[in-house]
Amino acid sequence: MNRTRIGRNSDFATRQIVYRTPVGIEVDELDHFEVVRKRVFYDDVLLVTYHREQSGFGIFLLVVMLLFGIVAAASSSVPPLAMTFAAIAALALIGGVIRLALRVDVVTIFGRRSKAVVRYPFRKAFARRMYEEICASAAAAQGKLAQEIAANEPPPVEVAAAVPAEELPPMPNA
Amino acid sequence: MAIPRPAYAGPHCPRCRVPLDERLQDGQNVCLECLGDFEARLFRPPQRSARVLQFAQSGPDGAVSCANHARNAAVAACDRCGLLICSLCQLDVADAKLCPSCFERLGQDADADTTRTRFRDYGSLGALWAFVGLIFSALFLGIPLGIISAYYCIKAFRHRESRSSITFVVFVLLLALADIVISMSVLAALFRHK
Repeated sequence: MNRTRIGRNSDFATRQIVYRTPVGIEVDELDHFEVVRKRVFYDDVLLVTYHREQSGFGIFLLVVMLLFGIVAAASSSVPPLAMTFAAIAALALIGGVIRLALRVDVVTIFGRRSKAVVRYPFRKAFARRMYEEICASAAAAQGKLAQEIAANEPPPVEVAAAVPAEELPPMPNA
Repeated sequence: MAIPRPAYAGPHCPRCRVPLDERLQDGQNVCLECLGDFEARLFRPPQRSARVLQFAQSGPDGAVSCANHARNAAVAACDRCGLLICSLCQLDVADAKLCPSCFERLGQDADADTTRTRFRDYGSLGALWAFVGLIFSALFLGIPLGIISAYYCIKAFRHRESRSSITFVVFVLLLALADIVISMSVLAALFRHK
């Protein structure tokens, strides 16, 4: 099926790549050399959310900066080594500050049986566009399904009149 | 092996994962647990209702009850095991009518393409062996590892559900060929030297 990559959802324990297909969202979870695939179909979507949160990777980079800064200070007697550690600490500081300043935009799609999460550390406009497009696709798919169900609904069947209480046979004595 | 996570139990707060209550609305929302804000769009997906023919309604002639639901009339036989099933049990998978237990078995055995959820990532496997082959190419290991890598690349080309893109697989294939060429040239130089 034709699918387009729309983003990733990665943390220290999860590596997921999220794709968009004509019928829903497809999530490929990487488990070493195996890919575990799950889907959230548009006609199953219950809720789509969009929020901005602090970047865990940014905090990790600041911790790295701190550690390398301490090591650089401790090895100041060996200038080449101290310079190397200081350079690594500076790079981590720049990366960490950028990640913390930008924060991460998160789009979450909740289905009946599964959910998909996409994180955007940099492409904010793209994240907003994806949120809008996923909402529009889900609304369109559910509208189409509702029409299909309405079209296939059988005409109302005349229910046989219930037997009047008087005509019911008497209850057997206990 | 992936770290097991709690099973999905419906919509929850995207920040703190506490289940959301009925007060959720379209637009801006605030989670009452973590006080984090988020934008939400609610959907009410329509439900397909299965029309189940009752055994009592189906008439006395030729009516057979479902193997799983005694009160429902059977409308089909499972294409795999032949079990008589009602419309509630009938699962249409890959042009076949299956009963729930056969569907479950197909999913476990990954026999039907539509029920498969696990795929081998041949592109990454090829990349791993090509990289190891490149490191050890001076020890002539580039030849066997390059061949293994090329084998995985061919499998990646044939199994397109694999994650790796065509460009990546072509790059890995070239790297595998480079492994073989480097190892062979080292071997040739060694023989020439002797």
